[in-house]
Amino acid sequence: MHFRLSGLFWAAIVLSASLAPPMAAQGRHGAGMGRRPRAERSGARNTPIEDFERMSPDEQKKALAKLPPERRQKIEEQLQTLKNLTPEQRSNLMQQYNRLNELPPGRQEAVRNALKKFGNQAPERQQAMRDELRALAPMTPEERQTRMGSPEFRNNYNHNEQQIIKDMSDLLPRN
Amino acid sequence: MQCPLRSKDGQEILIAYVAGTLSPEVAFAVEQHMTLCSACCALAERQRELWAALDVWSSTPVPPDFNDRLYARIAAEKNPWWRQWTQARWPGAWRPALPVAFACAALLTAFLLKEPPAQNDATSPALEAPQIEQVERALDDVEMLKQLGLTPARANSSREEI
Repeated sequence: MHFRLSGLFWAAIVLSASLAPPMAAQGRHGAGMGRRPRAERSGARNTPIEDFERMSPDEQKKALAKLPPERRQKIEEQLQTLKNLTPEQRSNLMQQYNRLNELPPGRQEAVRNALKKFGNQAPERQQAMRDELRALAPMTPEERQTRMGSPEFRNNYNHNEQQIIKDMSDLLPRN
Repeated sequence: MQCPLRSKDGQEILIAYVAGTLSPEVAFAVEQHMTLCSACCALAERQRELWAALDVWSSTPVPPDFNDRLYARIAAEKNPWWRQWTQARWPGAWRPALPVAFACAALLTAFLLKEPPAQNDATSPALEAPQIEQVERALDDVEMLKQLGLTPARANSSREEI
C-alpha cells in the first residue's frame, strides 16, 4: 500500500512536470502579429491597439519613444482618429480588423493588397465597389459566390475591380 | 611419531595437548616427539602463553539493555528521517493520505501554471503590453479599413452595418 501511494506521488510529480509549461514561456509573448494568444473579453479579441490604449500614459510614452519622430507622430494621429469615432464605428472597424487577422497569412496579404489597390481607384469606382460589398454583406457564402460569378457582376466591374471585391469579401461577416 | 606440523591437523593435536584434552597415550607420544622437535616445542610454548593470557583477561560486562539499544539503532537506520518525521506527526490512520496530499498539491500547482488566471484588464496592462511595431501595423490596417468606408458613417447610422 505504501509503495503504491509513493508511486502515485511520483507519478503526480512527473505528470505535473510534463503539464507545466516552462516559466519563460509565461513571460511576455512573442512579437508575431496574430500569433499571440489574446485574452477573450466579452467574446471579442483584444487588438494590439486596445492593448496599447489600456497601458498607462507613461508606458505608452515609453513605448512610442522607441520610434523615430515621424512614425511616432503618425501613430498618435491614427490613435486620435480612432478616438474621434463613435463606439459603433469603432466596434465595426475592430471587427473588420479581427476578421482580417483571423485569415491565413497569405489571405491577409491578399486583402491588404486589395485595400491598397482600392485606395488607388477613382472615387466613383471606389463607391461602386463599396456598394457592392455592402450588398454582399448580408448574403451567405454561397450567395456571395453566385453573385461574384454572375454576368451582372462581370459587366459592372473590370477584372481588377472584380479581384479587389473578391479579396475584400473576406472581410465581410460570416453569415 | 611423525611430526604433527607436517600432518594436515597437526596444529590441532598440539593445541589439544596444551589444553590437556588428549588421551594419555597420545599426550605421551607428543611429549616424546617434542624432546626431539624444536618447532613443535615452540608452538606448544606459544599456545601455553596464549592460554595464560586468556586466564588473566576479564571481559567488560555487557549492560542489560544492550540488545534493546542495538535493535533500536538497527531499526532507526532502516527508517529514514523523513519517515520518522511523518510517523511522529501523522497518526497511523492518516499516514497513507500524505502522498495523496502531495500528489494533489503537485497537480494543482501544475494546473495553475498551465492555466494562469485571466489578467484583470484594469490592473495589469503592462503584462499585456503589445510590441509597438504590432500597434503600428494594426493602426495601418485599421486606417486602410477605415478608408474602405464599410463602417457606417456618423450621420448615417441607419445604414447597414458591416
